[in-house]
Amino acid sequence: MRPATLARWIVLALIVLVVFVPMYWILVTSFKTGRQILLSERIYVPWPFTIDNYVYLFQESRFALWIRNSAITATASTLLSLVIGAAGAYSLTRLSFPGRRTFGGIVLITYLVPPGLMFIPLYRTFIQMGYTDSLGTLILAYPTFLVPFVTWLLMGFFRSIPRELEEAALVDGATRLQAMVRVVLPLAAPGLLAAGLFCFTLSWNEFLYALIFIGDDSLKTLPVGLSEFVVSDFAFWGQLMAAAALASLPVIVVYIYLHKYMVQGLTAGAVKG
Amino acid sequence: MTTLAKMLGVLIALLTIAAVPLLEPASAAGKLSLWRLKTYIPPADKILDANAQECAKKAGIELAIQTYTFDDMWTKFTAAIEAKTLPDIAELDAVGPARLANLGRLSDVSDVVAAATKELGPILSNADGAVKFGGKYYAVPHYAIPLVLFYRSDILTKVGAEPPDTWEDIQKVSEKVKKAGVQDFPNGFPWNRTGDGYDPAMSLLWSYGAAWVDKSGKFTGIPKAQGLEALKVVTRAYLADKTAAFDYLSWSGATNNEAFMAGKITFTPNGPSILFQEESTQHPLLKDTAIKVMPKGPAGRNLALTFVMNWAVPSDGKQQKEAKALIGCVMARENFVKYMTGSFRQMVPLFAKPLDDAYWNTPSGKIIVDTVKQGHPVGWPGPTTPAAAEVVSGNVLTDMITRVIVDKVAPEAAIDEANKRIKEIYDRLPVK
Amino acid sequence: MNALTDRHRERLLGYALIAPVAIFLAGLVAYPFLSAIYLSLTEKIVGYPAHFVGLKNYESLLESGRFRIVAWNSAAFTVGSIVVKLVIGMAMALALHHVVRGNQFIRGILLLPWVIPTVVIALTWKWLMDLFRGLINVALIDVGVVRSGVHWLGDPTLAMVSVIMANVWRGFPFFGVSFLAAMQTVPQELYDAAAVDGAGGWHKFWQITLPSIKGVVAVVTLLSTIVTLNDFNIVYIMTRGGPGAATHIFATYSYELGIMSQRWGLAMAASLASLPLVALLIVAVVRYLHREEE
Repeated sequence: MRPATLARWIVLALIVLVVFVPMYWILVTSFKTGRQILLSERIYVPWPFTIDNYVYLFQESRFALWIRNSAITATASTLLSLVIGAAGAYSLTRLSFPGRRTFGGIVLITYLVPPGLMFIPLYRTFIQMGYTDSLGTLILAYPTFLVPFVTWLLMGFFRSIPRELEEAALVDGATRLQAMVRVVLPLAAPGLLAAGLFCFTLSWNEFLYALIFIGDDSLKTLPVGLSEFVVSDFAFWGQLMAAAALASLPVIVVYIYLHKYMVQGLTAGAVKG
Repeated sequence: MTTLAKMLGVLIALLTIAAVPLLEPASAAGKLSLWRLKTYIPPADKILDANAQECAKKAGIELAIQTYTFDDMWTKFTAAIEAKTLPDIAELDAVGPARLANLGRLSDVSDVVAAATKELGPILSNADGAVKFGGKYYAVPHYAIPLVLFYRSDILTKVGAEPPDTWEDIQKVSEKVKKAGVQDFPNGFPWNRTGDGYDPAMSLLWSYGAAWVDKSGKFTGIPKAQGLEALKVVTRAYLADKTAAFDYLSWSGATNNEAFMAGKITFTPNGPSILFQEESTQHPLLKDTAIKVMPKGPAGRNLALTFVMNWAVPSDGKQQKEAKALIGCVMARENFVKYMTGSFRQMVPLFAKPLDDAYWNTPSGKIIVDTVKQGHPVGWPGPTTPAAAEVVSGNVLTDMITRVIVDKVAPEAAIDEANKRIKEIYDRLPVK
Repeated sequence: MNALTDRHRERLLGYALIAPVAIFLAGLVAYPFLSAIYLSLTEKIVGYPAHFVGLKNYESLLESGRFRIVAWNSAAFTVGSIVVKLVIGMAMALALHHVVRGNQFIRGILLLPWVIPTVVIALTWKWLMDLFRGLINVALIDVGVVRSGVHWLGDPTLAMVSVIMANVWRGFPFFGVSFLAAMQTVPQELYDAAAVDGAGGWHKFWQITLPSIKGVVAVVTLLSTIVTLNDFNIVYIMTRGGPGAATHIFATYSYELGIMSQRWGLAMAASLASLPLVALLIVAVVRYLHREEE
């Protein structure tokens, strides 16, 4: 083996180790008994191990509901953001109209607004609309931080698609809208997928809005549910880690399959940003 | 890519079908809404919910219960105060009634307190300061979880020390334990941004005669001489004797429980939760775990009682009468005793009769009850005020201590700084 | 004539397609944001009406020693996190670049920290770094590297390093994977030509790889800076800003002011105070990218 290759593998092994240790800890803790955790017994490998923590999730907590709520919220807000963002990005890159540049700048600036600052004004807005305590509230709220990003990312992507393809379609008699839907969007699929994954992950992990806008126990999302395993003086470590492991599993599977699209999309969009 | 697209399509279609009914706002209209604290004792929470639902059913109303955790309480309430969406019934922490009553957002519940008094005997006079303003009650005390001093009896025996009764004693015994090589950092008093930090900080200052207000609740400032004595005894542990580790200053509420149960510290201030945890896991340290009333100082034993939950009826609600009736029903003797006796001796009543219940007649039960009986509300020797609340929630007191420990600021300067911050708070939020 | 109507039509479509974004941003972003700016100019206590005080909140922040500590901590936290993420991310990308077998799988595995909820990551790291019970200290003592536990979250400097480590753990895979993707678009001919000139590995990296991917580096850095500066959970859960104020950052400080102390106006000012810095960074990156493009 050449020294360079060896060095590569050593670096890689170190990085994998660093990523692995906390995940290992989450996983082994989820199989420990409360006693093993409190007494720091069997630190490295839980033996005897227990699946009580997992059983607890389904029998005593509303874990399944949290997953359902998070899945619905994340999927819907992702789709909504993609539709709105794609339309906006197309308009800003392909069509010329007065005020275009200014608007492009504004979209970028709104990406800066810290969510911690927004939650009360946003909550008041929803109260005024008379629409709180529903998953729909979150589905409308999440695009506030997703749409600017999607628009920005797709703008770069659309720019990288040659105008000629679209013009050919126009010559063939397609309308502008048809050209967009039939020619540009399919070519931008990796970008849409990338933006979609990014949105999904952010929505899946969002905590603050979900805490404030949702009160009903049956509508709570996963991060809020997880946070309830830590109750002032107490951390229910076993259950928490079991929930974390189980909740990450579907996302992990999705990522192993789809991350290459995400990476392609992000870089293609970003290079031209 | 195409199969993938199809799979995604099917998934999304399924989710959409599942989602439609959930897009309706969860209608609380007509229902009575109740927000309560989610505690670390799920069985007790269940009893409370069952009681409340039973009461609602008898009254022919529908009850919707929502929960929050201690860390999230003010996030949730801040949004609700601003959006005018407070629930019909709110379980508030020790400073909640003062803040909301001052805003004019709480209804007078003196009648509910009077009814509860008939059922449960007189309210503890030391609990009044947190819920009674201008002669009227704005909340009904539900329960308290008092902080007590946890210590390891076996280690004390080993080094030949008596259980400490003063702040000085804790320091001396910690040194002994360290010198004997039993533990490196036995003194587990965390001056952090949790109740385990600010509650003992008040007990400490008050026990040294260093309160920051007078009896009417007006600002006086922390007196220098007494403040310095108090600072000296606790900062020594970190700086000179090294019987406490800096890590304690960034602990969360749960970490000191865990450090104690891992056998790494001899002392820590905590609610009785460690006992509950050790009992439920048949922890080997249970036999060596002992509790005592928190220490006294030169000015006596002036304990803080900051973990108190209170029922309040926000004036936003349209169903005041029903809300009051429901609180009355939950606090009725039979219901309340059922809840209390299901709390693993954690939830301590603030009414005389249930406090005398045989349930508390155990060695640790007596200490817990004793602590509640002599605890003082936030802002002592005055009543709880929004300003006093901010001194605590803004972490002014623990900041004063950590300025000396971490930033190596001179104790005099740290007190000056704290007094400046406290004065600014009291100037801005004058006592009415 | 025809051209004119076409242009009209294009304009119309342009506005129509941008309308949803515009409505969305105006209603649910701009309005709340503007009201946040307004509130930062008022004395606003939760539940009481706001009254205008001009720049007083900003003045009192600038005067306060605490805010200076917090600003300094935020800068250290953000810059520290970003720099380490850049270095490790780059190392990861370079190491993976020529690895063919298992590349997909390793990449997938390495992206995992990015999908675990932040609440769980922060709690896990807090526990891993616990003085007594943390896996890191226990393992170090078992192996015999140290005799007593390292004060990961106790020593004021080390505590900052620790929260940075947790933040880096969560964020570096995204850097690495993005860099890697960018590297794979660099034409092989460039390297071949350099090899003919006898260039070594370092030389190739500085002269070819880095210049080719600097656009991606800039954008990823920008995105991550915004997210890191607003990061609340990691610090709040791991240290609550402690010991003392050693890890108190903008996000935890605004929380302490706005939620715990109910001082909404001052809290808004504290979190808005970080915006000019980020805005500058954004402008710099965007200009840079535009220049690259032209």
